[in-house]
Amino acid sequence: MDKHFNEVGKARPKIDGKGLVTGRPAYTDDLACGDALVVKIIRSPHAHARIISVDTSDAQKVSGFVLALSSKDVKRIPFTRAGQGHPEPSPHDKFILDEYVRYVGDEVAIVAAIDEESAAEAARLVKVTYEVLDAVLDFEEAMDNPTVIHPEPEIHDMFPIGFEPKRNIAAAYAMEIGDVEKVLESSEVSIKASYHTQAQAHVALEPHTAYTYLDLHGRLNVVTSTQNPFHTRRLLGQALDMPLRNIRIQKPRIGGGFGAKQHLHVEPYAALVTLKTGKPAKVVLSRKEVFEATFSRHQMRIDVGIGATRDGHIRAIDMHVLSNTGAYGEHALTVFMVGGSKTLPLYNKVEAVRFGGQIVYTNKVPAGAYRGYGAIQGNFALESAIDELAAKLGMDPVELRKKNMIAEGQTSEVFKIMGEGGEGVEMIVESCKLDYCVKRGCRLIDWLPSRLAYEVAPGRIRAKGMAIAMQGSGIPLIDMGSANLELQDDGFFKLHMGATDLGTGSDTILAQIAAEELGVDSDDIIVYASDTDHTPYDVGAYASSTTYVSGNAVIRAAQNMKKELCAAAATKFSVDADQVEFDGKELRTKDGSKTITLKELSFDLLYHDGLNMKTVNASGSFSGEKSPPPYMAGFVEVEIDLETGKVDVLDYVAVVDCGTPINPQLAKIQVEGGLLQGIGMALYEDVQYTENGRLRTNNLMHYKIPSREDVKKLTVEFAESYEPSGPFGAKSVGEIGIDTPLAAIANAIYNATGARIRELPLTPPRVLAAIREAAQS
Amino acid sequence: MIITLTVNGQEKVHMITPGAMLVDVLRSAGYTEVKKGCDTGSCGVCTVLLDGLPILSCSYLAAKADGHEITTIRGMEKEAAEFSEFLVGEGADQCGFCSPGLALTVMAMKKELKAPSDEEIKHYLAGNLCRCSGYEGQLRAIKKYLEACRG
Amino acid sequence: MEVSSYVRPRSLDEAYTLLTQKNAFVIGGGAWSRMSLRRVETAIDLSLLNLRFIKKTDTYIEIGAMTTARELETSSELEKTFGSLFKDTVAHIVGVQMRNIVTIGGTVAGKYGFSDLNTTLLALNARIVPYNGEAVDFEQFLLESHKEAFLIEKIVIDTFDTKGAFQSIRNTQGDFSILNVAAAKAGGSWRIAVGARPGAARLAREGAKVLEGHDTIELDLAEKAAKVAAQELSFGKDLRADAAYRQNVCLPLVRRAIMEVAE
Repeated sequence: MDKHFNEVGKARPKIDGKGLVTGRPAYTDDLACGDALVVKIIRSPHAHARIISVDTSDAQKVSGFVLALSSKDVKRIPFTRAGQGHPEPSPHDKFILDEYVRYVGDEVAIVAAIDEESAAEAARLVKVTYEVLDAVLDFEEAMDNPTVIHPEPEIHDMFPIGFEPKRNIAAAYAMEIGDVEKVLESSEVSIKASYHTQAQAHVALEPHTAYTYLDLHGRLNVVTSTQNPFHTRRLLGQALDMPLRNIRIQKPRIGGGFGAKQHLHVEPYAALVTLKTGKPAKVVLSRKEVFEATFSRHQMRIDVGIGATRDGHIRAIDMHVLSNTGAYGEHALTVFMVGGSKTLPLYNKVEAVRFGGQIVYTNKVPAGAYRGYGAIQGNFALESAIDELAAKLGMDPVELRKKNMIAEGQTSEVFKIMGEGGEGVEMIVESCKLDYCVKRGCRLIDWLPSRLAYEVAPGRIRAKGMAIAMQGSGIPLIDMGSANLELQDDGFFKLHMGATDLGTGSDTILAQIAAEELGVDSDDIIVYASDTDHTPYDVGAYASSTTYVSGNAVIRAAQNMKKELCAAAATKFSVDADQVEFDGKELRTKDGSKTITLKELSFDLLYHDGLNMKTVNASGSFSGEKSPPPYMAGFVEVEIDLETGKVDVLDYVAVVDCGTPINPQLAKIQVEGGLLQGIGMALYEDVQYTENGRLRTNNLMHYKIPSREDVKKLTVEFAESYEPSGPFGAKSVGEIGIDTPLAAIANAIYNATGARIRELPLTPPRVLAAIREAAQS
Repeated sequence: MIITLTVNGQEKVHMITPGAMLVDVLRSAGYTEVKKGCDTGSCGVCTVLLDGLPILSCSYLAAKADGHEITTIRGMEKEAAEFSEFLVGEGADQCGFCSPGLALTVMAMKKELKAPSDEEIKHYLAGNLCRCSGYEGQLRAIKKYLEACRG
Repeated sequence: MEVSSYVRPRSLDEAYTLLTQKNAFVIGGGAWSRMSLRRVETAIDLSLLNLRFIKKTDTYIEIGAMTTARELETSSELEKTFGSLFKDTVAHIVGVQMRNIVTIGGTVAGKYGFSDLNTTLLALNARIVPYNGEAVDFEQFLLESHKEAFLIEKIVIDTFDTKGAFQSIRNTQGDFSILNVAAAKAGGSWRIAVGARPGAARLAREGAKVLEGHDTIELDLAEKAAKVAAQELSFGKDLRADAAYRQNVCLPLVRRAIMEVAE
């Protein structure tokens, strides 16, 4: 599509960039007032226990102590912390403070004091006695385990999700198209294998923080590091049994999300203290608490079966998932389903496909939302399995994919069957440049099927591997975003949106979209977002929804604004509204006889036009009837030290189809950032527990995210693509970058050594052991 | 105990407990641009310059800094603003939490290294983690910035 | 770390006297302070004692206890004498910010298992020189515990005809070593040190013996020595690897360190 844009497609600088780099106060803890009470959370040292007593008598003697709360002080209401729409597909299985603790780090009690030191001292002096219970630590032993983690009678689901807490099942699902068993049996070639992915940690550099206070009207104000202000308001209101009208949520600048903050997290604890004392309060988690007591990615075991003809036509895919949701069930079903719904449609020509499994509770760190959201785990399994099939067929893995992958204009039956916790939406894929992405990626990495691996020095091999991926653009019929535009004197516009900028630059690109539609400059759009008192509703930043859903809402608002502007000018011109045109600078009658600049109009409407004075505003809301997938092909070149098992990424090539990149630079950074997180999960980020269920890798000294010395090069390009249903042709780009590195790197290791590794991360010890085993057999 | 810190050119007296870390003393004194990101000296967001050398303020006893000069990013506002143009120009300032620490370390690097290669830049800045940007865009920005400073 | 009083003595003698008191502790860089649960009565800061130096003579180098890892990394004296050995050794310590804090004295005193620097110092046969006491061979220092006050003033390394190399394996570049190795030849005498086992550095004496008396080292001799070294040392399990991996990887790392010195 040959489109000429004025604002869209430009690398506009982020509006908050300078302020952030120069250190202006911007994050929740910077904004919390100096005398906010400091709240500390006392946490369970046991993976599973009943709290017998909480003794705060010594804590109360600490000078500066203000308040201590345990479960007896809080109304007992089950809720979910999952940042999702209503009704939430996650079980309501959490209490603010409970009599039971279900993982090491679970909240036991809270103390509040006038400063950090007193609060820490008071927290240390709280004495808790426990009745230690058996813990369920192995997720493969969780289902029907005699130890039941959630026996509480009050917990419930919001609609049937396969919730069977007595069996330690948080949710379950199954679907089948065609007869998979039959087709697998009759397939000339088949493979069957199990893959394991670990519970990756987000490591957003800003720890979770919330600051609460009562305003002049006695309403609870919450300033919080959140990805979903409106869900937070609703969930908090539920948990505290407070009417929503008495709660305001503001998201300031936040230091990274990636899904970590797509939950209610520490807000209830700060809120409780403010409600009980009338004073401002804050909770700032330590990095240890973020690791141990917020959320992680769902650990999974994925069993894959693929059946194909001898010449490489894939006939059936079977995927069975066991997912570990940890102590609470946030995002349990939906992450699990995305494992299939955003992988299986890649191979849409199958005769049969089956997806199912369970999500189980364990006494471990609760799992929740994390970029990729199931698709990354599913991608590791499926894209590794495809390469295993290619090896068995003696076929180039790229050729095998080319033969079977989805193309523009096609559909997959999976779209209709699998949605967000239930059924999905039928969809023809109107933009898909996978073929170009694969071809271009091959060129950039120099993919030669006959020479995918070669020795560069004795004991050092270079090898290439690849994988393809898809994601989504918002959740159709469920995600909704809105925007309000208001004309100001001086001819600029206020743009108010619920959309949530995590640092991604959505404030900037949504202004670009508004400017493009209105025909004005981005500088004429002043943005304010993510404040439940002042901005219209938006689901928040997740499911790669902001560009597609919120962007389309902004377009509608802008279209409506143009109508309103023309109508207002028409009144001045004494003509019908359809006789007036707007070119971004001027409004004029079609015959050109009457004109007025936007600036003049804005002044007149506010000050001069007597009975015709008014504020010109317009709103727009959007929810999608489809979720057009972005696609990408990922190619990695690694160098492997055969004597130590060390794998280094020399180059990662990503060719991405995200439709029109609204801001090409910000889009590129999204992919580059996603790649690094995927590479981190593939190679470095190890999760280990003690046998008592304590997370050993609970700080950045032991849990290693990639540093800038770890990956030599990233090469990111975008395909020319245009999604008709997207704002100016855009799809999403927030998550797609993270999906491919796991399989691409595992595939490269196989190509180099013949060692097929099906668990992560691919650390030197794991790789060396696999290489040696493969060499022997 | 009482210590004296000269922060961004301003000498001030602080009342601290002897075991207090510099990051906490600075943040309590209002220097919120010095961030706290981890517990273990691993991430670099707390970086300040001590007598011109980059250090991790979370791993430095405030008492040890007594009598010394400390520079936070707000003490280099002009240079930071210049650098931010390049970072923002690549879209590489994402959530911004790593940015002040990164900017300070870049300023220190500029003084110490004359014409650093890509590898040397990456090595000097290895202690400044970023989870958002993938580092590539930051490298592009830093190279352009260093070139602009030289030219 | 909880500290009751923080002192900056003005002389080594004053520092030593303070150290003899109950529950006194010398702060090197103090990088561990935030993570430490120690309760210290008197924290002793040696910053005023001019212990940040690297002095070269014809036959040895003296490094003051408060010299930082960054100073070791950028020292032209150390580069002239040992090539890139010290740079390679400390390069992976987190970042320049951390290396501007951690000191050689603090690292030596800590006897940390993960330390890369200690492994290199052991291979170089460093001597630890205390104030008011006899110099101690680093090997001995690592094995013994000190009952009386031991105030490290400087570290001395003989330099005559000395060459060393450092090798390691780790996950990310800024991570602790899963295993580290330093090999050094001084005159005709070889020393092979292996650290992060995960225990602290130890000498592989039998492995070094294999190399004795050979003027030139061929690859298969180095391999043989490395094999012996891997067999003679003990390895353990921690977060990063088990004993078997460490033993497996010891061989190539020792061989590579030897060959780097030999060329």
